[in-house]
Amino acid sequence: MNRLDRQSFLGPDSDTLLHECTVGLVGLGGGGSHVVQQLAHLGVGGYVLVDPDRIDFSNTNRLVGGTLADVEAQALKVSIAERVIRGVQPEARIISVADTWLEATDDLKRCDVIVGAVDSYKERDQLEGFARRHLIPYVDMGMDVTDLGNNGFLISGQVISSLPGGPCLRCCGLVTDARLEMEAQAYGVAGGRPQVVWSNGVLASTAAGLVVQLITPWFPSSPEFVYLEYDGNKGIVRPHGQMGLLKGRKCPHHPAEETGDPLFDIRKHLARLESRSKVAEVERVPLWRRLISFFRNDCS
Amino acid sequence: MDANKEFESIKTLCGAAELHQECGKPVVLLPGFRFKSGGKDLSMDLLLHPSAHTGYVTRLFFREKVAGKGRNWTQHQVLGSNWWAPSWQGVKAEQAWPAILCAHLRGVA
Repeated sequence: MNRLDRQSFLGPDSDTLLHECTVGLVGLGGGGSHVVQQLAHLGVGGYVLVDPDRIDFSNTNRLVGGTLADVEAQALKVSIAERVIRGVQPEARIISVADTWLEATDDLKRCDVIVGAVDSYKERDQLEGFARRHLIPYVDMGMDVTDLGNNGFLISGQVISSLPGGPCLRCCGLVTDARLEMEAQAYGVAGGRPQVVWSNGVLASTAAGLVVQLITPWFPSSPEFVYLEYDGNKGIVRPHGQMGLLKGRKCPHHPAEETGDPLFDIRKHLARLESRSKVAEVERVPLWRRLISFFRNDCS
Repeated sequence: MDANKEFESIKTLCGAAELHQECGKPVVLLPGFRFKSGGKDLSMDLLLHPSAHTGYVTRLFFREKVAGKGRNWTQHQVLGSNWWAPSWQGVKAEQAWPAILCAHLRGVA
């Protein structure tokens, strides 16, 4: 019996497709850690995990896989995610980048899908722009808690599947210059925003479902732009009003002529590859050999 | 504002300048641009974004941080590569591109 038998309805080749694909996950906190766990169970074979942060005690209310021992050890969030994946798929292909996604662009370029679970509009905007430029489908997820004064708090969120050529986060009105300006003015004062595990879970499950739609032949028609909104107080996920209006529209913000890397220089690219392979070569030599070599060279 | 006309005026400052587009807006690459910072001559690739970007009305991106100058440097992805920009607000878009460039360079002078 195959581990994935009970999801065979996703299509005859779905196991292979899931195994062969690589998903980039940017942000491995409350939202991203849920997505990683689900993709691992689904059998996604390749991962580019990106998050510069280490777990802290306040993350344990929502970071899937994170333990008190991880807090004690100040474990990297990418390491926790890697452990969660390997617990189900020991042979998974994982590239972990404990840095900002801007330092992981070479690896993210090779992904089949990128999932963004980032906090700021600036990050969303630029990550989506990067994905568009490299013709990679981008799934964005985010949640917020709004103080309604005497009426309590509203938990809300959204999941958007942004495909090359189709409507983008700007088309949806999620990213606007006004929001970016407000964010820039609050530079350095952004504190911890309210987050809860179950709404992160709903949004992450929705995002994982969209990733599966993109990869497998589960749906007979081609994947399309999706914009779902979440009302956490009512426990409802439904198509956002904009979804129907925007469907089929071309995106004016990321025109077709803006694809690819306009500053690509083959000489710089080859030099970078060469320096990477030299580093890899050094890392392959055991430490004790490197030490002997160092002392021999130093003493001769 | 006529982007082509503005670009021609930028080319008088940097003959190797290239006009590109990001999110449908013009962006000017200034390869190996020479400028003064803290009394020293510097040369590096710059990217002039003469319209709104990440909440700023205009922006100038630097290939690398200028040591000891500018504040709150942040990294950005523009034209498929990474760039640095200091927090330097208030350089209006309603002026000639060379004037925008000079106003931003004052932030690292």
